[in-house]
Amino acid sequence: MIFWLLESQRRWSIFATLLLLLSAGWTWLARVPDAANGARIPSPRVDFPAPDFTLQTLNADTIRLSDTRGQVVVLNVWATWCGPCRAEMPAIQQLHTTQAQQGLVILAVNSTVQDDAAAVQGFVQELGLSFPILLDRDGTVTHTYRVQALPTTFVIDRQGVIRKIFYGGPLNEATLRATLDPLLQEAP
Amino acid sequence: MLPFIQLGPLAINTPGLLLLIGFWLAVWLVEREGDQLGLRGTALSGALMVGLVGGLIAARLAFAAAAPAAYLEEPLALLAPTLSALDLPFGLFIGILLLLFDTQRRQIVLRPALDALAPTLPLMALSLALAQLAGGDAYGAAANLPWSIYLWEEWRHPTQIYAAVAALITLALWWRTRSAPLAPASRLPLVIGALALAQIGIEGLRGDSALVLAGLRTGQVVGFGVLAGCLWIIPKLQPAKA
Repeated sequence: MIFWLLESQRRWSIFATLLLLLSAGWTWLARVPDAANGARIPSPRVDFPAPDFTLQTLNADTIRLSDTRGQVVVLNVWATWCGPCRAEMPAIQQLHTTQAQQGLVILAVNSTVQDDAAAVQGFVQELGLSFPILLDRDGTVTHTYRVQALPTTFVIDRQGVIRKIFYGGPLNEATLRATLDPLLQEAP
Repeated sequence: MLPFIQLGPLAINTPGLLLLIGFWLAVWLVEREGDQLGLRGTALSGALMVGLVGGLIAARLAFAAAAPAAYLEEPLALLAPTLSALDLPFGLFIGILLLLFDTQRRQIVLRPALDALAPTLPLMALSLALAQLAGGDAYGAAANLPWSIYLWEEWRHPTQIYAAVAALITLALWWRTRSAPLAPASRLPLVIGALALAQIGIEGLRGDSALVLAGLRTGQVVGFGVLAGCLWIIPKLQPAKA
């Protein structure tokens, strides 16, 4: 078939034009209508608005993600039994200590649905963590953010858009700063 | 969906494993094809490895360039096995450049070498599609069809399976044209064009497409450009008829 088409320049041109026209038509038909109006549905993917949620912290405070708008958020989903989660916590704590003044918010969501809530307090004290620890007791956030591996870390910009997702760990401070530094320099 | 295979205390990342198997098969196929086309197969697969390793190093360095001070303070962080900490488009660009440079350095004739590399693309596309199926990525739009799969709380188009089938068809197309009297280097744009056509078709059924202007899907727009380029270059590569 290919050779038959290539035997004649005219035949190939007709074939190529038809293929491109069909492709262009399908591309046009398959466009996503919501996005044409500038709206993007929240989704746990890069360049999409981060899905909003409200969770209680270990200290029984309530934190809503959308209340952090205007700041850069590191949303780290973890569990006490997860080795890489434990290993990366000191780097996250260090970032919290040094970058909070520049508008960095750390939200460490414990995937309590697959963890032991009683172990969380001990874990936090042992590692000396001072950022908010949120408890995802029914797994809503773990599920909404489609977390398949622990830890998973979402970096959300000042407009509430996910800019980077790190699957697995442990992350080090330099790796996180390579993503965070440019975002922290963006105007609030 | 099988994101991890648990073997005792060891959790194996299934998508990563599938990509690794795909690359290993691609290297094996390049060696075989290289020998078949009168090139030195091992030299060609060596060039492929140079492209892969060089591309990975470039991807990590480009990622680190966003915060050089942080990496200077913690240089070992450059070696962290974090696959997300890579600038993949830059790494791919440098990897291709290194592959081409190394084939020249090894004095491998370029055009037949491109033909030998052609089947690696559908093979990698196949392993990528299977990796996406295992990880639940690149999922389809909601659809109630007899062949829909249940993923992320909905019955959806099995776009990853469509992509795997398209990769197999492309591989079959390459196989059919393998011994045909096509001009050297024609098979590469042929398989790239077929994969781009598949991308245009399948992307339109996806539920997670990245978008450009007016709701157009980025994957389709890029695929269209690539397809147009391939359709233009294939006849140009053929020898003029007497």
